Amino acid sequence: MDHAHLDPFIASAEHVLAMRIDTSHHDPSHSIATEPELIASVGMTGTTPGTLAATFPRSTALRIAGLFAGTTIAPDDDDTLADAIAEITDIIAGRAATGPHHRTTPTVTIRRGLLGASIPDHPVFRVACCCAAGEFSLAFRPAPAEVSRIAPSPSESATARHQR
Amino acid sequence: MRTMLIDDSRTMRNLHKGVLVQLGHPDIVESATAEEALDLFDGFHPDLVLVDRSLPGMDGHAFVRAIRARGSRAAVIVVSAEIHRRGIADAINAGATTCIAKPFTPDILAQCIAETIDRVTPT
Repeated sequence: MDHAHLDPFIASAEHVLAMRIDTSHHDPSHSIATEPELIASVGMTGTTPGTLAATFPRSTALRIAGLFAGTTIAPDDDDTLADAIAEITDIIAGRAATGPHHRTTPTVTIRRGLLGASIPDHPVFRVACCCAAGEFSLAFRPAPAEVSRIAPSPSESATARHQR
Repeated sequence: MRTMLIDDSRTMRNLHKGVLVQLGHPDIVESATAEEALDLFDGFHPDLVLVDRSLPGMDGHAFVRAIRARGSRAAVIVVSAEIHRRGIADAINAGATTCIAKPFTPDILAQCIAETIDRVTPT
């Protein structure tokens, strides 16, 4: 699978997390693949139209969010955890964009207690990432071509005006 | 010094508050939306505003234009995850004093705040 779509997001995630977390090594004891997941998603327009989804095991999310916020987040404080993860994901998406664009407000889904739950099988590019706080994954689903056709290109607009 | 924080992320507002308090500026009003901040603005008369570029509803640039239209001369720092030149130019054109790109360490934010205050408060 071609991961080129994800390269800007991977570079951005590394930059963002490196401000607070050691991204040069990975502690495998932090990898707990069967934990309930947090999924943060951000829709984007502009040069990279599509949806970025960052998926975290709960323990990794707690560590990353706590280091980013500079405070310990209580394990049952879903609101604070979701807020911090949403902000981190938004920053990753924003820094990955190379030009003017719009982003949706990040949405965070916490799959508390749904062991073995997985993301629906959409055609996405996905890559596993790791840092000292644990493993997570980044996925990008490019916007369908129909979306880009909603806004006519300048030449199409000119043609439409000419026909009127 | 009175400071207004506008960010829809509680995490970011708490980070900003921590730095401001450390710098000795604990007089802070915070808001999650630009619309709410505008309602509070005239009653608070902030000297410094930290506003996120991306907000639900009215965005950070529109907020800056709105307070400049009201005649505010507050120092304004636009906080943004975007680092492209066009975004910086748009913020300055809207009336911001300066911009800072997320993510940043508390030290970088503290330096930015101190420099911004110095720029609008000539000695």
